[in-house]
Amino acid sequence: MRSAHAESTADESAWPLLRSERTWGPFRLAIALATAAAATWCYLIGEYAGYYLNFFQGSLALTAGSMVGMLLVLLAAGPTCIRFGIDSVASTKPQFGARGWIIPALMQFVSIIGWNSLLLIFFAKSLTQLLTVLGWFTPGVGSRLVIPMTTLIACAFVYVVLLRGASGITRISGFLVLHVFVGLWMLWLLVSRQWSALATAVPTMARPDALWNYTTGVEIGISSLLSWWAYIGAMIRMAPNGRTVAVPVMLGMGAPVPLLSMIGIAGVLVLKSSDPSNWLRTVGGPVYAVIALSFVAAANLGTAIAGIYASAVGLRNFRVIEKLPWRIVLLMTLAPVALVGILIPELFFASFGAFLAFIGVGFAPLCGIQIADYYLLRRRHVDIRAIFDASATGAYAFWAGFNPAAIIALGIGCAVYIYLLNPLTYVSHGPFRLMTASLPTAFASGFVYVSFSRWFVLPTGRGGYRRTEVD
Amino acid sequence: MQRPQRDAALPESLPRELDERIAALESQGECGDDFDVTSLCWLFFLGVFIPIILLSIGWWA
Repeated sequence: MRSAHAESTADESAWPLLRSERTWGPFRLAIALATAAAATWCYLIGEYAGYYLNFFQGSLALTAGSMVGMLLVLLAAGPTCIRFGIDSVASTKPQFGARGWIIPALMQFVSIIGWNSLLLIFFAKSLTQLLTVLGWFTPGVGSRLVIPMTTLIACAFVYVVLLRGASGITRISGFLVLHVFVGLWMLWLLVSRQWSALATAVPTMARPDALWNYTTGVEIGISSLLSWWAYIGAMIRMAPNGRTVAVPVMLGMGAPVPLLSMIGIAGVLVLKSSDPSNWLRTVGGPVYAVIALSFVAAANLGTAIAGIYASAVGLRNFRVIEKLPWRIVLLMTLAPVALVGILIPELFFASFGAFLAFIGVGFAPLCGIQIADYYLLRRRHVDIRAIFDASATGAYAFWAGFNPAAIIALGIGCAVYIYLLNPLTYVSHGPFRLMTASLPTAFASGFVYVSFSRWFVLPTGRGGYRRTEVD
Repeated sequence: MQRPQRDAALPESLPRELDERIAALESQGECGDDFDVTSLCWLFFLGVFIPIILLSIGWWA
């Protein structure tokens, strides 16, 4: 029998959770996911859509794309995480191998740490603006110290909240989820007061090809939500079954992003700025500015808490980190964020977005590989013992712990995506305007993975595939 | 905790608590349920049907 202490700290490890430990119901899961999803990046997502589409088309294209992207992520990582109570990184071991999972683990780590560095720097900037609006801080006086200091304070807050593991998220998300409603209020404010300008606003970078613009809006929605792959496992493993997870994920995580992104679309179309902390003072005066800045600060903090938790659980998959105290793992996860915020906040702002764009490219093929493996090759059979067996004789050992089928499919998928749509320049080729970039990329990766596995991996008997299921 | 019979060829290198957890999951009693028909219908409705409707409205309206 396990001790009470072991049960209380199970959510601080990458070990599988038992059904009795997975206590999140649909409502609690939806609240936690909504708190994690709603952040400053919603404005950026909306801003990009607003460059190419008007408010009506942009909102619909983003919403449709977001729901499709959420579906892909849930079908990819969801089943294994739900059945065994493990995180997204552990769910990739049947595809990438007992050592090859380090590839998706690095993608997760860089993506979450990168995004959370940006969010916490955003948080620091919002707090600085808030103090300025309130008259408690004079611009220019010690401004170089304010962002590092507030980043440190934010990191300390995240650390204290997460010392309680996943229960820390539920405690804080019950309060922070209110910012989603503040965001909807801001959207209403902008739409109701600027409707005439919004209805006639023309996107500044729209191309002559209307279908290309529309598809680009859908693609922005899909690719943005694909980034949730990094977060989703750590959250849904707290729920007991697929029925508890399906609707809360689609509505709690998939819906808030396009809803709040409408703020960014409307803002960039009418006021040429997607960030409400920049325009709400003009629209509603200093009181509204304080509300907006508080919203931005709370939103980013909520997302950072979920992100740091997911990343810390992901790090637990490394044997050397597995047995470290939770507080040390949290420090290891927060340290890069704090260092970026203290040492190079402006440089990071200026250049890291490009790197993150390419990191995001990897999630579409990753989803395609996982879906193809789980539903087509394994026919829903996953060996939980093999997931945690790192030995050379384990079912998921493949070759020295790496599955070449997954690595090749991932590489080809990334190349296909960049060919279809360069995420930096938005130069597109081939069937992009008809099919987006993420969907054909996921399909191509899955196809390559299945083909290579059938041709090369399965005949060797490696990978723990059941011959009758594959046939 | 009851432990089912294990394959003798498997290496015995897992920490005790992890081994117990895996054994419990293998016995199915502690395993979570995959998506059932109802949840798959919801996923199809929210992730396929609704996007098609939204995209059609956005394009043709």
